[in-house]
Amino acid sequence: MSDESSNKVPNNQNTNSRKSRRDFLKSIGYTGAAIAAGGAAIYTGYRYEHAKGKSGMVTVLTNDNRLVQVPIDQIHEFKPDPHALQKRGRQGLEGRRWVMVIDLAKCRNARKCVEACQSAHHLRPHEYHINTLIMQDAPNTAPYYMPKPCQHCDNPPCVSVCPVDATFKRQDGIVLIDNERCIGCRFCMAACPYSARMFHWQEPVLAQEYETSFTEYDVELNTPQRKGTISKCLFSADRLRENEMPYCVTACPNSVFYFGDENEDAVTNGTTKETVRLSQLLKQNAGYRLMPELGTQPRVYYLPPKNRLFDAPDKELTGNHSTQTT
Amino acid sequence: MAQKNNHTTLQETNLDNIAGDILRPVGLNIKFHAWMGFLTLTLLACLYAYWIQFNEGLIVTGLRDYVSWGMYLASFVFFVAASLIGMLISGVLGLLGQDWIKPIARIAEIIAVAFAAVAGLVIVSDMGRPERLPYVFMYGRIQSPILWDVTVVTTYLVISLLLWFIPLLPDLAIAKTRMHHAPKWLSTVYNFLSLKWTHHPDQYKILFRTTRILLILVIPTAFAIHTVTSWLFAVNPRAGWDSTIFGPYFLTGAFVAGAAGLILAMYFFSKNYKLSSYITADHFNKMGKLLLLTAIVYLYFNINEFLVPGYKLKTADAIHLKELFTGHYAWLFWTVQLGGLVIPILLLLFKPMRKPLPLTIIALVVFIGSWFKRYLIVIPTMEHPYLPKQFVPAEWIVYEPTLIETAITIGPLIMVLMIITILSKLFPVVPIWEMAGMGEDETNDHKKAE
Amino acid sequence: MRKLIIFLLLTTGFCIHVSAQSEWIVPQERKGRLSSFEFSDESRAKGLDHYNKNCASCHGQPGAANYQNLVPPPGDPASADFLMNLDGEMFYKVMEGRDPMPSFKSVLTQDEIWEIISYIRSYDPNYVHAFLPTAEKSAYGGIVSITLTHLKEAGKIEAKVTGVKNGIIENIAGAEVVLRVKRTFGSLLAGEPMETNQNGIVVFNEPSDLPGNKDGLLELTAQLTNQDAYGITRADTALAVGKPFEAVSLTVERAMWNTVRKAPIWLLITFSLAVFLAWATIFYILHQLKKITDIGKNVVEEWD
Repeated sequence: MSDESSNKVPNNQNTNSRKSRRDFLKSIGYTGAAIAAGGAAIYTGYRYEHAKGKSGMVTVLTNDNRLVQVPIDQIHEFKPDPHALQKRGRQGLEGRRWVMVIDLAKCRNARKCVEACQSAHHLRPHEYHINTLIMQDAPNTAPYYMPKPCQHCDNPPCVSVCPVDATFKRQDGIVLIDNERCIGCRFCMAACPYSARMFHWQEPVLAQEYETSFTEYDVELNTPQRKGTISKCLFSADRLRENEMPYCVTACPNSVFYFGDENEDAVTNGTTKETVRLSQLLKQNAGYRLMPELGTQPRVYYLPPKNRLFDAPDKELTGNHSTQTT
Repeated sequence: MAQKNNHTTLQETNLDNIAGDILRPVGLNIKFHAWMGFLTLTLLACLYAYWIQFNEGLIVTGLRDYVSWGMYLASFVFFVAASLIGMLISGVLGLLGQDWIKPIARIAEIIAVAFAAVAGLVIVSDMGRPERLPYVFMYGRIQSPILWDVTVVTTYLVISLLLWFIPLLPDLAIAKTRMHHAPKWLSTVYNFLSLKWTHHPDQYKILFRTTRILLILVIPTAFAIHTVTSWLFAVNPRAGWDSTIFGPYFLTGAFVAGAAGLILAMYFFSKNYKLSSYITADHFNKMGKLLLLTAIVYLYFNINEFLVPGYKLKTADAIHLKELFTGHYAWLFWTVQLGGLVIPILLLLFKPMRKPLPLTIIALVVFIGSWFKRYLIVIPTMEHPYLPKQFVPAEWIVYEPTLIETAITIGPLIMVLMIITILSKLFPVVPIWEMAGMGEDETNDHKKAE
Repeated sequence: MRKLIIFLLLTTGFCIHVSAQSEWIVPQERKGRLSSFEFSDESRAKGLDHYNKNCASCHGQPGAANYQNLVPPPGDPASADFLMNLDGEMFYKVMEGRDPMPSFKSVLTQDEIWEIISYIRSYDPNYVHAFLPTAEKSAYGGIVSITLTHLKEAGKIEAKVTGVKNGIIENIAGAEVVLRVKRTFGSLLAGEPMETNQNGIVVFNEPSDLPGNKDGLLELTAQLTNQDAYGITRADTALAVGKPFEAVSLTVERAMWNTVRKAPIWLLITFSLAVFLAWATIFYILHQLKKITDIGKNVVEEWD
C-alpha cells in the first residue's frame, strides 16, 4: 500500500515535466516544419530555374513504338510498380491456353533453343530451363534428340507441394516461379518427374551487373535471377504478353517447335512461321505427351521422330553422361 | 516378478533416500562445464561452416540440380524419427498400464523434446533462403506437406515439452529444498517452475488427468508427424518414394531408431549418474525386447518395400533397386540392412544380448544404421530421375557430400546433445515422486473412477 | 571405263550440287520485279519488326555478321554479297526459299516482304530506289476488290471479286482466292485456294469446327494469289463462321496445386479441425496448470 502512495508523488512531477518537454518538442516540430516547407519552396524554385536553363529536346520511344521529341525539362522519372508486374504476372493472359508442340523428327541437337533461353534468362551454360536430351526408348529402337522444356502441366506436382505459393499456375496454363517469394526448399524439384527445374546454388552469372544497375524483378522473365531460389522455364511469358513466340521457339533453325493457343486450335512454327491446326497436327503425326501415366497433363506435346530430317544420334550418347562446360 | 519386488522395495525406501540418489548428479560441476565447453566449441565450428554456406550459397554442398535433397533431408528424417520414442514409451506403453516405464519415461521425453526442437533447424539449414522462413507462416499453402510438417512438429514439440514438464512438478517441489550442492539460483528456478506444487491430492488429480489427456493426444500427433515426414517423399512421383506404405514404413523405422536412442541414454544415465538401482538390468531387458519387436516390424515393412517393386521390376524401380542391391550403393545398403537390422534382430533373440552392455552396443549400431538408412531412402532415388542426366558437369551426376555439408549436418546433433545435457543435468532424470510412490492414492482413485 | 564414267558423273553432279548451294539462281522474268510502293521510314520501321520476328533467328543482326552456322550459310543481310541482289531477286528468295531457308509465301504478305527489303536496303548507301508507278501496279490496270459474305443457311463463305476499270464495274473470273483465319502468331489456311467462277464468285466451306470467340466470330482475310495480275488485293472481315467458344480459365477448379483459396474443401476442413482440436486441448492443459498453481496458493494461505 505504502509503495503505491509513495509512487504517486513523483508521478505528478513527472507529468508536469513531461508536459513542458512535450511543448518544447512541439515548438521544435513547428520550427522544423516551417524550415522544411521554406526549403522545399526554395528548392522547387531552384529546380524550375535550373531546368529552364536546359530546354533542349530529347527523343523518346513511346509505348506504341513511336519516336517522339519531348522537352528535357518535362521528363519525369518513371518507375514501373513492382506489384503491378507481380499482379499481372500471377494472373496471366485471359482466354489463353498456351501449348507447345515439339517435332522430334526435325531436331538435330543444334541447341539454339538452349542458348537463346540462357541468354534471355541470364543463365550459365549448364543451367537449363530447356535442355535437349539424347533419348532411346528401347535397345532396338533408334535414339533421337528431345528438347525438354518445362511441361507446364495442368496437374503440376511441383505447384502442389510448394509451401509458400512461390510457384503457381496461371489461368493461361503457364507454371511460373516468383523468386521474391521462393524460400529455396526445393520440394518442387523433388516433385518434378521431368527434372525441369533448376536451382541457383550460387550467385547468378550476372549477379555483379544486377548490383550496379537496378532492374525491376519481372516474374514473367524471372530476372534478375537470385541465389538460393528456383528458376524454371516460363514459356517466355514476357514475350507472349507482347504477342510474340518464346525465345527457344523462334531461335530454332530446324522448325522443331510449334507454339500457339489451344483455345484457337492453332499452333505456329517458330522457324517457318507456318500456322497449322493443333488438333490435326497431333492427329496426323501421332502426337503424345511425356509420361502420361503420371497424370501430370503436360501442355507440351511431342511428335515422334518419324521420317526424320537428320541422322539418328549415336547410341553411345544416350543415358547419363556429363560434358565439360565452363 | 522381479519388477514387482523392485517396486515394493522402492516403496519402502523413504523419500529422502530416493531424492538423495536421484538429485546427486543434478547441478553444475566441472564435468558439466567441460562437456558443455567442448560442445560449444564444436557447435561454433559447425556454425562457421553454416556461415560459409549462408554467404556462398548451397554450392558449397554436394547438392546439385539432380540430387537437390541430400544429407540435410536424411538427417531431418532421422531427427523426427528419433523424437518419436517419447510417444512410444509414455503414450503407447503408458496407456497400456506398463508400470516399468516409469523411471525411463522422462528420459524418453527429454530425447523427444531435444530432437523435435532441433528438427526444424535441420530444415532451415537446407533452405536456399533461410531468412524467408516467416513466409511459411505468412503465405502458407495448406496443400503442401511442408506446412503440415511444420504444424505437427510444433504441436508435437509442445506436447512433449508438457509431458516432460507436468510430471516434473512434484519433483521440483521435492527438490527445491534439497539442493545442497547445486547453486542457489537453481533452487529459485525450481521454486518458480514448480507452480506452487504442495502435493495436494487435488493437484495430483489434475496432474494425472492432464498427463492422461496428453498421452492420448500425443499418439495421433506423433503418428502424424512421421507420416507427414514420409509424405514429403511419398507425394513425389519418383521411383523409390512412390509408395503407399511409406507412412508406416517411416513410423516403424522411427520406433527402431528411438528405442535404440533411449537405450543409449539409459545406459549413460544409469552408469554416469549411478542410477542403476532405478534403471535396472530388467529395464534393459524389456527395452531390448521392445527394440527387437520394433525391428522385426520394421524388417517386415522393408521386405514389403523391396520385394513388391522387385517382383514387378518397373523400369525406374528396376534401376533404383539395382543401384541399391548391386550398384553404387550396394556396400552401404547391405551394411545397413544386415548390420543395422537383421543381425541385431538375431542377436536380440538371446537373453544375454539384452544385458545392459551388449544391448547398448547393439543399440549404438542400430542407431548409427538408422541414420544411414535415411541417407539410403533420400539420395539414391534423387540420383535416378526418369529422364537422363546430360550436358551437365560431372559432379552433378553423382552426389558426394562435402566437408562443410558434413559439419552443418553435425551441428544440430551437437544442439541435441546440449539440450539433453541441460535438461538432464539441471533437472532430475528419474521421477522421484513416482519412485517414492507419492500420489498413488490419487492414481488408484483415478483408475477406479474410470 | 565404266567406273570412270560413274566417277565423272558423280563429280559433275557434286560440282553442280555445290554451285547450286553457293549460287541461288532466280528466274530471269522475276529478277526485275519492283515494289508496289515507295520505301519510307514507316516501311523501314515495319520491315525491322518483320525482320526481327522472321529473319533474325538465322541471319542475326545486319552488320553484326552474327548469323547462324548453317549450310549454306545464311549470310549477313548488310554484306556486299547480299546487297548485290536486285530487289526482285531478294523478293523471290524470301518468297520461295530453299533448303534450309523456309519459304515465306504463306507467312508474310507481299507488302510485308517489300517492307523487309526496304529495311535491308537501309544498309546499302549506293541503293537507288525504284518502284512501280501506280498505273503499272497490276497487269489488270484497274482496282480489284473482294467482298466476303456469310451464307448462314448453306454454311458457306462467299467471296466475290470485282474490278473497276475505266469506270466500269465487272466480275472477275478465274482469279485464285485464298482464305485465311487470323490466329495469335500467324494465319491459318481456311481451305484450299480456289478460282472464281464466271460471276467472280468463289465459295468456301465455313470452318465451323474452328473455335472463334463466344459468338463464333473469326477474323478472316481473303486474298488473290496472283498479285502480278491483280495487285495486292485483300479483304479483312470478321464473320461468325467459327465454333462459338468460351475460354475457361485453367485455375478455376479446387485442386491441390491451386492457391489456398482454391484448396480442396475436405482438406481445409480436416486440417483446420485437427489443428483446432490439438491446440484447444493444449490450451485446456495450460489452463489446468494454472489451476494447480491456484490450489498451491490456497494451501499456502491455509497454512499461513
